Amino acid sequence: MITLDVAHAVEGERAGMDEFAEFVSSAMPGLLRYGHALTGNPHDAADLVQGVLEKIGSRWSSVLRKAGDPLAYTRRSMANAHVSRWRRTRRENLVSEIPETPANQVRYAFEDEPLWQALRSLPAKQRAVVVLRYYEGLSEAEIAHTLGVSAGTVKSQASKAMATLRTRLGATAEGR
Amino acid sequence: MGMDIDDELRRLFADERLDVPVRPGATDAVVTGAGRRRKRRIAVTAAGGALTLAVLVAGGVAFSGLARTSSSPPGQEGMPTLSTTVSTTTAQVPTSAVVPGAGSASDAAGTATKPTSAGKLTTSVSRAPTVPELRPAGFGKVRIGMSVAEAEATGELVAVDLGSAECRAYTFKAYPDRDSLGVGISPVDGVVAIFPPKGARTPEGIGIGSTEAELLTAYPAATTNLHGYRIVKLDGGKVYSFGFGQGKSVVEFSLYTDKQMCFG
Repeated sequence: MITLDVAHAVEGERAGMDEFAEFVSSAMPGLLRYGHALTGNPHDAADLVQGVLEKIGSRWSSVLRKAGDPLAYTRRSMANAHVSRWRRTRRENLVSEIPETPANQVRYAFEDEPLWQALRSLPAKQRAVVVLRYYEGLSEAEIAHTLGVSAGTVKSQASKAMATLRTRLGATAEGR
Repeated sequence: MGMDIDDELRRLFADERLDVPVRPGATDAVVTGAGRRRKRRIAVTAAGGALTLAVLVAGGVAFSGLARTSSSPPGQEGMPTLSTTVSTTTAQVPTSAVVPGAGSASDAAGTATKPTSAGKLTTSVSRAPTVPELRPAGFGKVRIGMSVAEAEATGELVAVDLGSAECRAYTFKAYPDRDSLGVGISPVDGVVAIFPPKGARTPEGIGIGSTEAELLTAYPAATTNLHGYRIVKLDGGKVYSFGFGQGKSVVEFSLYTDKQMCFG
């Protein structure tokens, strides 16, 4: 019985892999861009996009069946993966060790953007809330649903994030 | 007062500088990775406790899958338990190939791992306090594949509650670092990821601070994955992964298996 189930699953997944490849190919630029906003650097964006897409592709037919819009599902998965505590702990450690060199042109292009710098300084969850609100255009209720937290948490995280951004930008402006 | 931060955020998120160039072959890499994860999951489901088999299958698929195109997806190889072997994994040892332009040409004859041309490669043995090597088998007493109970019984780990069912996280007792997780353990697959403390090096002398040239001299067959990490394939689906961040030397260094569900 198990064998039959597995064989069936393999058949189903096989049939969808060309379609998955097409999805990946067309969605990749937008997802990388979104990941860049979420993570604060292109390197982590690529890491996030690949990890999430691989997991989705590994159960592609059931994602199509259950999730409806695979692109929306992928973006929500990215937001969730992004705020997972493991990744956050790893990345913040990693970022703190990265020397601020202009080796990467994409990232360097933002080095003079006070708002970008301020965003990158936010804790991951607060940054995700800001990105979902202003990049995705989601409502507080939708953000809460996406991240699996209460609306109250979204509200408080958003409020803290905006206060931090205002403070940082204000300080930058005064310093000029 | 004149700055409307809402508008500024929308402007920033519409900025074309947010674009990230897609690497050639990125789609194939993702499709291959998805196939690998699917096979792994199915193999574990079907074979129950036969985890060793799952490792072998996943490893073989991972490497043989690299040359495939999206028109011939990994799934066409048939049932996972009948699938490919790991024979290609042994081709990744340091002496197997020479990467053009990597290291000095005089090291080409299989002597690349000898620290003859770079004295600093030998310093790990005289470093104090001595940090164990990160070997393909593991770090210190913590070994890849150890169960949660076995790993905890080494006495070298401190659990960190991250609330993840798929990946239990630990730090190293002897190397306290509140910001850095050291070991990820799957309840199903055991120890699946190790991020050693600073100072740890591979038996070939590579670790945090190594340059790309040093890395390629030690591992001429190292590849670069989709995100720019240098990957050294080991047997059993394990890899060394070296991250350079935005700089010129290694800032992140890990050993993990392709079964890990702890990150990316």
